[in-house]
Amino acid sequence: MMKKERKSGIFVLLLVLLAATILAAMCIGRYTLPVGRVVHILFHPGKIAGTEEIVVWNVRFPRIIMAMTVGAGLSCVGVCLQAMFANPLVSSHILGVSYSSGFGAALGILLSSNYMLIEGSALLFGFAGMALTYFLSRKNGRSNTLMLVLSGVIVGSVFEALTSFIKYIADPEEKLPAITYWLMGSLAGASRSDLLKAVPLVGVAIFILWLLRWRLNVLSLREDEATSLGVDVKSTRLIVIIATTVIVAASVSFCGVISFVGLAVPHFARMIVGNDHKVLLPASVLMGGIFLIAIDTLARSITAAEIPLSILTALIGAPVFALLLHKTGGGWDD
Amino acid sequence: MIKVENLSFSYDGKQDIFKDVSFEVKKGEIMAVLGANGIGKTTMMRCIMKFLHPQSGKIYIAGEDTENMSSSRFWKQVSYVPQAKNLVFGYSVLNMVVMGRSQYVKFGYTPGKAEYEKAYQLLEEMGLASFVHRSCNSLSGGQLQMVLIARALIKEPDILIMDEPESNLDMRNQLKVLEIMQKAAKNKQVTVIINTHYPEHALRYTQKTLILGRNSYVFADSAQAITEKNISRYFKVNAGIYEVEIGERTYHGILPFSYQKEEKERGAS
Repeated sequence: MMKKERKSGIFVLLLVLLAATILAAMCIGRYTLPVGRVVHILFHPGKIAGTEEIVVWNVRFPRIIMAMTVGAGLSCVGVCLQAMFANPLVSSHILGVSYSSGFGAALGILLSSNYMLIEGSALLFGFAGMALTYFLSRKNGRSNTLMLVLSGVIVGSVFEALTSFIKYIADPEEKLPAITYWLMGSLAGASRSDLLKAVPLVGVAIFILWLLRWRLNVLSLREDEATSLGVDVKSTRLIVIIATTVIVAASVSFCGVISFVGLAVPHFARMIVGNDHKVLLPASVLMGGIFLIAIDTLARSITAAEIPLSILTALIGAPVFALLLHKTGGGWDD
Repeated sequence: MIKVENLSFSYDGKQDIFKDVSFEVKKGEIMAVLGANGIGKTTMMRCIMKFLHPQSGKIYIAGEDTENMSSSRFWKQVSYVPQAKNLVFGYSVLNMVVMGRSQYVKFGYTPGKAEYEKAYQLLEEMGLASFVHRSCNSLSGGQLQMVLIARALIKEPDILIMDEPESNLDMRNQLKVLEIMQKAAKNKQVTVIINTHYPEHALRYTQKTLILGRNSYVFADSAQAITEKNISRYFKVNAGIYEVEIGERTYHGILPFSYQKEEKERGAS
């Protein structure tokens, strides 16, 4: 178990790092701003007059906050699902929600160019995918983890195939690139009005999962064991499924499918703070926020055209992940 | 404390795993459940713990039918010690033991200082204080089994159900685990049901023994249940029970010297 002082030290460090990343991301971009100027603009909100203010408040602020929200949310999903399935290889794809949500977005793009509709469709299909997975996994009124994983695989493949079908019939000049781009994840479209929808949705779901932080420890044991320790496995699991679906569906609907974050960040966090979900969950949330802000800043600044996020999360995340795994041996032991 | 009446279970509704089993174990008593592999010992335990639904029969705890008990009420009185197996995520020993208090941790909260102190005290009592901060996955099988017992005892249960706790352990660790069980029964008046493959452990540590067979069972005081005749009948081995006097005490040992061929094997040879 981690000493209290060390634990607080890590959280202070992560918060400082988060603030520094946000500030750096505000400065970096095609229109570079000096730190002093950014700080001045941030502390004098309301006066959006010049280009610099517009860049900070209307362009970068929504994007950075969205990156933080989605990064934090997806890492939180990874931690919770890894605990629920007692498997460190699990990520947000396991319940098929990313695929069904992705299908919803693709369908939305195919049928319309209205953002509201695309987001709504992604959210709706995200929930539909989750519901389908859950009901498919129920046998004799009960649902076990293996059935849940298999149902997730089934639902995921169906929606993946349906997405391919939509891509196949989509207009290759206009719709197909838009769908492909969406499915690789991007925060370019993040606006302040999106924030008003995404932040409360993801925030509440993270808060609910945070309430479960102790139960997640118990939930990661064998089912009988968890039950014998007095945890209502069925209802705890249902809460985890619903809250994680909200996060995944919301993030897919606002910025497409972003892979790797939900797998890698929880492991980074495990290597540093151990497996106790009391500490692991908040640490993953903070680290996920930092990670995605950093990746998104790179995505919009290293080349003239924006690079889709999933390419960078994997290309940068994977080697770092491999290095850390090699050095620490996984960190699955406290 | 725990009374089972005419318990029957079948997976497919046709072939009974066990039928009409009845027994009663009093407060502070230990009952061993013996029987050949695959005979249904674990199935019976799972029925008692409400993980499986019996075809018929009743289970009473302190006179109350467990079928009408809510899960949370049931698990406040009953603790389960599973076999020690490595965990996916290695929690610290202290955290593992505190998990036994989960029922007393309110939704949204984490265990408080008092719970951790309780866990620490119990681990100290059990001689495990030196590795409270170690990961459970770095412990030996015997140490992990003792941690799991501590996790079960911290709940202060009335009934402790143990699933082959001494399997896979060396002799020294077996004795340690069984002694902890005996102390819990004696000092804390916990009723223990232990699933075991060792009749000699039943003879030494338990008051009651239940031997399960295909279509029959024996339930009696351990010394009456564990006889050469019953071992031959229920385990299909020929064994001798011998006595060894060490100091003031007499210990019993069991020597299986040959096994009985089954019908099929007889036909083949």
